[in-house]
Amino acid sequence: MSLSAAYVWIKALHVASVIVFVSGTFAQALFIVTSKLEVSAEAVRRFHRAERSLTIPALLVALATGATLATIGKWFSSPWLMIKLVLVVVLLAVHGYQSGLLRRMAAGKAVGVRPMQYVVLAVASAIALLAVGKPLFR
Amino acid sequence: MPRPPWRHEVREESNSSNAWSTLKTASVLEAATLAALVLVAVPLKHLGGFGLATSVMGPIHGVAFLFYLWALMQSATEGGWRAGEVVRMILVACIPLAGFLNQPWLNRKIRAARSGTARA
Repeated sequence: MSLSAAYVWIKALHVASVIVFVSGTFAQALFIVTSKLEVSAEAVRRFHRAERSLTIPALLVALATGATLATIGKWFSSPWLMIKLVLVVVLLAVHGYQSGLLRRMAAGKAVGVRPMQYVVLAVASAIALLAVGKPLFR
Repeated sequence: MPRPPWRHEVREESNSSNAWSTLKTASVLEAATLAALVLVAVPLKHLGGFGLATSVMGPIHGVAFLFYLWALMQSATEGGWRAGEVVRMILVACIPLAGFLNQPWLNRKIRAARSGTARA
């Protein structure tokens, strides 16, 4: 398989894993906002275990395939990728923050909830726009 | 088919401590890949003309750094860390070998969190 043919398949894997990761991040945000006081610690644990079983593998695959794509495509010097990487850091930070909140909720500790679903929406949309429209930023 | 009760208990116990283990592992990985990049790959590129070294180690360190940031946010939120402690962890991740020197401090934080004396 040539490098250009492999690029397309790696890109498909990257997009699929990002979809799973962003979906899990949305699910976290909506679960936290809607169930802060009304659910048991056991319910939080069960949700977090299920969410984590999907998003952590997806996160690792997305990071590995993203780095591979940027290396093969020689994108690291492109401004659009630098902007996208900053947004990726924000998305990872939001997911990590919400994972920490879920762990606190599962331990019965108090949490100060900030609705993060709009942040996830804005960041994920900006990442998609940058990744698809990259010719504009070359 | 109902899940055996012992299986549920074992998984619960492992879940309660794996966030700290993840941060510890991510911290060591981040420090090791940064050291390999700065102390091995960059000299190989500039002194030996072996540019492939940075082309390979750069993205590997990038992935390790991003995963470290994720693990840091999770543990810092769970443990109720102060902003200064988070900034410290980010700074040591940017200085070669500082991640290794920071391990005793991180171990103390993890021990405090596991014994329940961290800030709630």
